[in-house]
Amino acid sequence: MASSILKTEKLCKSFSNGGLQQHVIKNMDLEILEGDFTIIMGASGSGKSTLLYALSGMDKPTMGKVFFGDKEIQDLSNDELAVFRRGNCGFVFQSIYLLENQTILDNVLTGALIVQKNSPELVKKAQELLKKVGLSEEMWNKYPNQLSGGEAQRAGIVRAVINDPKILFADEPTGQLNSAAGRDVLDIFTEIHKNGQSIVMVTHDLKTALRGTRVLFLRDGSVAGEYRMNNYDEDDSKARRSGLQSFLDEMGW
Amino acid sequence: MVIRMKILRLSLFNLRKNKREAAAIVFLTMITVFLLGTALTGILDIGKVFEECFSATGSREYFMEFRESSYRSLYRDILEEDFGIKDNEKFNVLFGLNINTLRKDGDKVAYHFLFVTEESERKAENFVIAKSMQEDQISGLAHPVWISSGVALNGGFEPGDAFTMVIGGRDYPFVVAGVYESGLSNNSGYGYKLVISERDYELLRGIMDEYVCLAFDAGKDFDTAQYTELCEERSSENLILAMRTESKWDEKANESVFCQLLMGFAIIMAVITMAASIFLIRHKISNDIEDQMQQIGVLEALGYRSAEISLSYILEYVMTAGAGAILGGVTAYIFSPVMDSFIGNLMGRIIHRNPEWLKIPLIAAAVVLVTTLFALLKAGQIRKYPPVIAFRKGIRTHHFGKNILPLTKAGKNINVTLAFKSFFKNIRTNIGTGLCIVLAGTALMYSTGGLHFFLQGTDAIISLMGMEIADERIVLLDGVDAYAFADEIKDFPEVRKTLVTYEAEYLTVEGFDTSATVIVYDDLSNTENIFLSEGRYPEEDNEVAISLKRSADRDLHVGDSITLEGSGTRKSLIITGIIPELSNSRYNIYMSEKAYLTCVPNARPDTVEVFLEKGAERSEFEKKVTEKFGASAKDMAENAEASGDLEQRIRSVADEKMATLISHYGVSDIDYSIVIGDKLISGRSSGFVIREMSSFMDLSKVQIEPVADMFLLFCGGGAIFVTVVVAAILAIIAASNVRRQRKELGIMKSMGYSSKDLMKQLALSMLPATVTASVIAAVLGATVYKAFWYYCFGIANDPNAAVLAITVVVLVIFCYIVTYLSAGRIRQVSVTELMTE
Repeated sequence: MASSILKTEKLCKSFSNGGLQQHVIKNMDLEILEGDFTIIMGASGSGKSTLLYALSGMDKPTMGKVFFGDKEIQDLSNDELAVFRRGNCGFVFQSIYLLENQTILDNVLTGALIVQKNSPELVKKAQELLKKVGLSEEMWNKYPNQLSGGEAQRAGIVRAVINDPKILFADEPTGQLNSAAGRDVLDIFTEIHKNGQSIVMVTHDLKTALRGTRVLFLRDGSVAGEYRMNNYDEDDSKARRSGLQSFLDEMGW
Repeated sequence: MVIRMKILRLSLFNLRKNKREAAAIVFLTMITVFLLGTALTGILDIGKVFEECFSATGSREYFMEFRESSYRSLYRDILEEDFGIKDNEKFNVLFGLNINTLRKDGDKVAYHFLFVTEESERKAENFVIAKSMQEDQISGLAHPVWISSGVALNGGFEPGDAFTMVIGGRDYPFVVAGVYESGLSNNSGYGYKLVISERDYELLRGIMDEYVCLAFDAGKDFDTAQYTELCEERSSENLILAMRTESKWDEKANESVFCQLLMGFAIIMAVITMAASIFLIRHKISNDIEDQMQQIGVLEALGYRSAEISLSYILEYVMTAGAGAILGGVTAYIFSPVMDSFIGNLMGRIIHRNPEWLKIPLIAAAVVLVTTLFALLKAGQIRKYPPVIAFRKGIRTHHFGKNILPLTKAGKNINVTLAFKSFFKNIRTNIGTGLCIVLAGTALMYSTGGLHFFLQGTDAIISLMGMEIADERIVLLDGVDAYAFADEIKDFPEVRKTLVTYEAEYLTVEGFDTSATVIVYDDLSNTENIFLSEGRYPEEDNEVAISLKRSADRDLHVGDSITLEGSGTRKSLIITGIIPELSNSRYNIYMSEKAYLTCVPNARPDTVEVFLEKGAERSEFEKKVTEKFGASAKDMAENAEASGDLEQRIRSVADEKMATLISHYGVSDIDYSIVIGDKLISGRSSGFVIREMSSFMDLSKVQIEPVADMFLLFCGGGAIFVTVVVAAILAIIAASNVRRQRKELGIMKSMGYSSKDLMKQLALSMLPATVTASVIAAVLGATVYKAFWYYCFGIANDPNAAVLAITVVVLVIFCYIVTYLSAGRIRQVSVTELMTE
């Protein structure tokens, strides 16, 4: 049985809006297992992204606890959380968010050099990863605005995994990509997961969710249901799709 | 109308969004208008202020004062006949050099004083009383004195205060009956005029030099040199030592010089502030446009013209600069009495003026106009962004250039590498920041150089005097061997050193209008306050050193020759050295005794300058000298007190009479015999050795202290002010950069960069600009400092290199800390806001 990498206890997150308290996550107990490709789904406003921020230490919960392994992270200061993130977490954003004034290779290295010392091995690793996601050498010294969305997101994934994070978070990584580019990006995620990477991804796209091994469906700030799948296999996609679709239908998606 | 409202709303939105930056621009504009308003309505009008003050006194424009024994009635005839000045007044004054006076704070300082009776004073001017005691109180005073405003301000005297002069060890206890406004004789250089009763005048007459003064109006072009020449020619008298001249224009120049320096200082500070303000506005507009690019695109898509959108930015700065200008103008108005009091203290006058207040709104409007103009030029860049380009966030965010400092070559510290990358990325902003720091830093370097110099107290200025300022200056009677006397004095344990010289001697240098004070020593290299800026001390009988000012005025250098004219002699000497000096109108000449005697063959050394060991008491030393060599003739003449039996009293009175004859009338040898009953009492003057003992230190204190205090205030205030401006510039730039780079900072945070890392990066990214600018500022500051001393005082005074180096380091550290702290807004940037965009 895989061990728990992330765990929440009675996690609550509320926002104050014009004096009104809006409870987005309510007393959530949740466990993310090592090696899982966890998909978080739910309707708009169900608290998917809020949960992702809370799990990744980008935001602090209003109440409750978040354990990363054995370490409680909810009470860390912002700077302590930054240090925590740099060694443990990788992020892939919907809007990609590459640094526009840096080349693709520099974007990757900016993420790496805050954790590791500069070395030829590190540069080589970055270059190999870029090659692996289909970004050839002539692209390394290009700036983000010279790349297509799919290419940029691939660079974003490399930046997220360059430090071998214990867990990779992704917030609708294919949301701004066309279907072909989205598929390429998802293939990379699948590949990374096959290599043992724990992933937590927020999406509302069924095709994307199919890549996961565990789907959590949120409703009104709580986990309304959970669906487990085997590792992704393209040959098995039809059955996988109908299974997940049934679960989602059941959840009222 | 709708468009106008939308533009106004956009301006107000920007103001509210960036309150701190707006407040900083308001502050900088306020300071600019305050400084310019103060300088241009007050200090710039200093000439006018002087004219108004002078005119209020009703003073005559010229005083020609002749030593009573040298005065001839033909001097007045020359004035009337040759110069046609029939309207003149003649009256007598007493002149006391270097008179110790107890200041209100208990300090003993030395002033030059001119004493006149009220009748004489009314011949010189209107005797305008500024403040005084009640008539009945004055009539009860034994020794009332009306003091000129200059000495009242210098010493802090008020009506009713004790005004005690110490002459020859004896106190002369006057009481300040009133303060009056004096046209001439109102500064420490010429002396302050005091009005005393006729009885006191007669009392002081026995112990002071009396002069005959001719007072008249003759306009600016009156040639005093020509008048003096005519007087000397027709009377065959040498008037160099027997005549003093004062004029309204000399007084004006003396009094306004420091106010003009203050004005220059205020204007420089205003220019720096305004430059900083304009730079910040341009920087902020640039950032705002970049920040609001998509909003601009939307407005353009909705049909707003670029000019209308630009107007919203301009309107923002019209509002901020306008608010600052109003505040600055009001501050200048409110502070005008303080400034008047400050100027009054510098001039030694009670200020009468009617400032041209209309100038302030004009200055304020000009500042707002210039600010708006620069805002307009910058806001015009909106034209470059039609909707589509604006939606794509312009071209500024598109990078196709060379990758400077690729991270593959990053050093050990990624924060440093990223900071330098950021420096090159924002090179234009950094150059602008650098220029602002160069401007402000130059003023800072100049200020700290001055601060360091003036914090050393009067000693620092004394070191620039170009003459020896001994602890005690002993003038000997004719016939006394100065070298033998000096040898005896040297044996006193408290004496560190003695130098033999000549009492103030004057020679004429061919080609120069005014005579030169000659500084003569057996060996000039033994002096300790005469420094060469070039060449060597003169040694041989055909060598001379000249002042830096004289050298610069006539392009004279080491190796050139000058011709000196003494009493009946004329001699050409080679210049061996150039000496910077602040004394005697900066035209001293320096020569060895050997050379001096070839110019004035009958001169004899008559002065011994005594340098005491550290901690030795001057009064104790004087007491020991008096015990060994007898009191000075001057002291004895001034200490007319007889006591004891009849013979003692007779001898005392006889000694006093002899002393008076020797010290005031130039008598060199006296014998006396008095028969009382069957007793013969006799004596002779050979017992006298010392003519006078005095110290330049006390006089220097009066003349130098106010100047040193003023410069200390300027430099200290300037340093603080510049520091605030630099802090404001950096704080705004840092805050503005954080705002502009909010997204990038969020991305960096998501990668694990902490707020501290990012703050460090931002602070480090400005370091190359601040280091370069600080070094350039140090070089420029040193140049300005040297130029200031040279052009204002004609001397070379280099700033202390170590102080400049320390200031550079401190400035760089200060800039780093301010930027780091100002970048604290980075803490507010959260990664989650990225995701909710």
